[in-house]
Amino acid sequence: MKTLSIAKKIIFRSLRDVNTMLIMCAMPLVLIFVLGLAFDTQIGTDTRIDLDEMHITYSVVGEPGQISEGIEGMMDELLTEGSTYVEAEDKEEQIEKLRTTEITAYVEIDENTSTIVYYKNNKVNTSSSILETALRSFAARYNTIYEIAKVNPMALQGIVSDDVSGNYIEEIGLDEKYQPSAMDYYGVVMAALFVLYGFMTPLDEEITDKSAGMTARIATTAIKPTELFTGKVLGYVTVSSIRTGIVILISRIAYGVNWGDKPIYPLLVILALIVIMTSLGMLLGEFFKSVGAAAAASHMFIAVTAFFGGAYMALEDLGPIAEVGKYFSVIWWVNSSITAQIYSNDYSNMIKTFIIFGSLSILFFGISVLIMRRRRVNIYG
Amino acid sequence: MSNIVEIKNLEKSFKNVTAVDGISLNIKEKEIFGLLGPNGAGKSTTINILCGLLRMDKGDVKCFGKELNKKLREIKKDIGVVPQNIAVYEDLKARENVEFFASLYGLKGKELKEKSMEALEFVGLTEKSEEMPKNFSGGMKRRLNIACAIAHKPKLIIMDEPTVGIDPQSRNHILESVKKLNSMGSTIIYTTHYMEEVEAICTRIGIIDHGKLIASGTYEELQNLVSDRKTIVIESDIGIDANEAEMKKIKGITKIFSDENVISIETNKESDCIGDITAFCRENDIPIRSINMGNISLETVFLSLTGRSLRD
Repeated sequence: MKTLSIAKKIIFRSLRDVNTMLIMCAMPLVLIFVLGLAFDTQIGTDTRIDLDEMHITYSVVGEPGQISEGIEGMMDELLTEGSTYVEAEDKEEQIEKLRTTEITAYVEIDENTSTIVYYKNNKVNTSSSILETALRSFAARYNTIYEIAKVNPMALQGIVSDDVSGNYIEEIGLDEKYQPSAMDYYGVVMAALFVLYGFMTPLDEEITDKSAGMTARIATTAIKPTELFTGKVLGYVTVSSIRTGIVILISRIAYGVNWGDKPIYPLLVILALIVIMTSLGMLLGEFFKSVGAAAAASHMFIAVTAFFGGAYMALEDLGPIAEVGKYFSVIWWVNSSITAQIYSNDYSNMIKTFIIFGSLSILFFGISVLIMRRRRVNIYG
Repeated sequence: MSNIVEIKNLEKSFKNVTAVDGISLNIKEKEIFGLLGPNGAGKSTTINILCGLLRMDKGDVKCFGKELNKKLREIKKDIGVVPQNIAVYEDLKARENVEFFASLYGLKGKELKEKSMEALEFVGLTEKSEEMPKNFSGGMKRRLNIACAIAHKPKLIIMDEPTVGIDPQSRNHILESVKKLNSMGSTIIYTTHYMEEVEAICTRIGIIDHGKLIASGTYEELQNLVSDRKTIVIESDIGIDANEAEMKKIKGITKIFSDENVISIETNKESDCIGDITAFCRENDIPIRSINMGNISLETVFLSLTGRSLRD
């Protein structure tokens, strides 16, 4: 009950702040519309997959056998004219070629241990993700056939002959109509960017509550520290979710932004972002004493995160700083995991995002609790 | 009546500053205990320890017979705190503010709504219950500040300078409310540096200075501490600070306290120096508007015990 009171108070106050609500909902929608229209051709060209341009090298450890032959067959079907799939000797040389984008991917096949190691070039992320998905599909099929062969070798004949074409990847990944438009791209990154701005709500409220004596007053009541903390997290996460939910819903209905066939996954990524930004806002709220200083630092943080996350323009070929910097941007993690999930059914980035965001949220919340324990006696009460 | 608060040898320091220096006092059930002292005397630190905002360095504090260090949360349920600054949410309605704080003491449902409205009625804000405090006057905000602390019907109400910066009408309303709360059964600890408030409402008074409790008792008991003295209050048309040192040389005067055009002169009870004082004023062209033989005020008591004014 006390937890809900704290959450309810935060939600009521935030939703009544009409100006902030308008800015947090209308601004991303305006930006999605403007940037989506302005960069429509550019984003479309950059992100569409041109399979003709894929150049893949591979090496085989041990005697070439079922795996290497199977993959070669798959490549024959997958790659169209102009693409290459050639054997290479020197692994180091191939990795260097990957760095310089001379090749799209490098596949290391070990026939002795039945393993496939896939090295991809992140600069051509979508193409290499499709290849990765195809290889995963191949590996799954190979394992299935292997297991069946152990039990009933005769059954294999039917399976193999029935599916000669090898449907390695879902068609969704190759169909041009499913490629992200600029509107789709900005729909995702703007929603993420304004979740970032949303972290200023807990930051601002924590600081003003401290300076206005509200924190102390609440600490004199009979509320448990765990109830207080849980209520705050629940309240701030709900507020940010409502705002972001409105943006996502309108962007879907009004602009047709593609949130995928399974929108639960993109929404979970956005929720993970909301949680990590809430934890950061609450943590910084414990450190800062003035709203002005906190706002200045926050704007700088958001600007840098937005730039490296590609919130204003997609970061392609902007050099090594952008290449490294993007990993420090929560927007990039959100965008790459949602895009990979929607357009190539690839969940690997999403899992990494959940792990990173989850770990950092726990860390930030943990530090906040430690600071609260040191500051307020009632934590021990 | 039994003790509701027992403080023994309480100590609290902040780095090198000793804020509370061995205070011991008992507060009895159903009394209004005034904690009087100048700014920085240690009143708020004592109060903050009592309501669980600060940890004591040394000492023993018991509330309702329970040890503060061990049963803090249990004790908090029966305490209402009216903080010195107005701690209400400007963008929540008056009713919502009271309901919010009352809910943190465990009230819910119908009981929460009823008791919140009772608290608003008590402070005279029923008609304003659906309005935002940002549109309230300073006095109304102070009253709402009190309502937020009393809705859960606490046994002990701690009021930390609840009348700072408000108009006389609102002040009177608050002082009446304090007396009414007390008559309804609540024990009240009231800190202030306004001695007239303490004189008006408190059944017992503790005087704190430099972190020490220098005296405590009823108003009469405190007056008796300085019964060997009397006070002469002179009101003039001009400021008389410049003549203070010279005037102090008159035989029989023990202390002088001047505040703009008013000067309070403390003399020995036996000494009859009124003639010398009026002569001094005549000689120094100090026009006397009025002259009164004052009762011994708390100000005089404080001055006598500490050698300085409450407002120093």
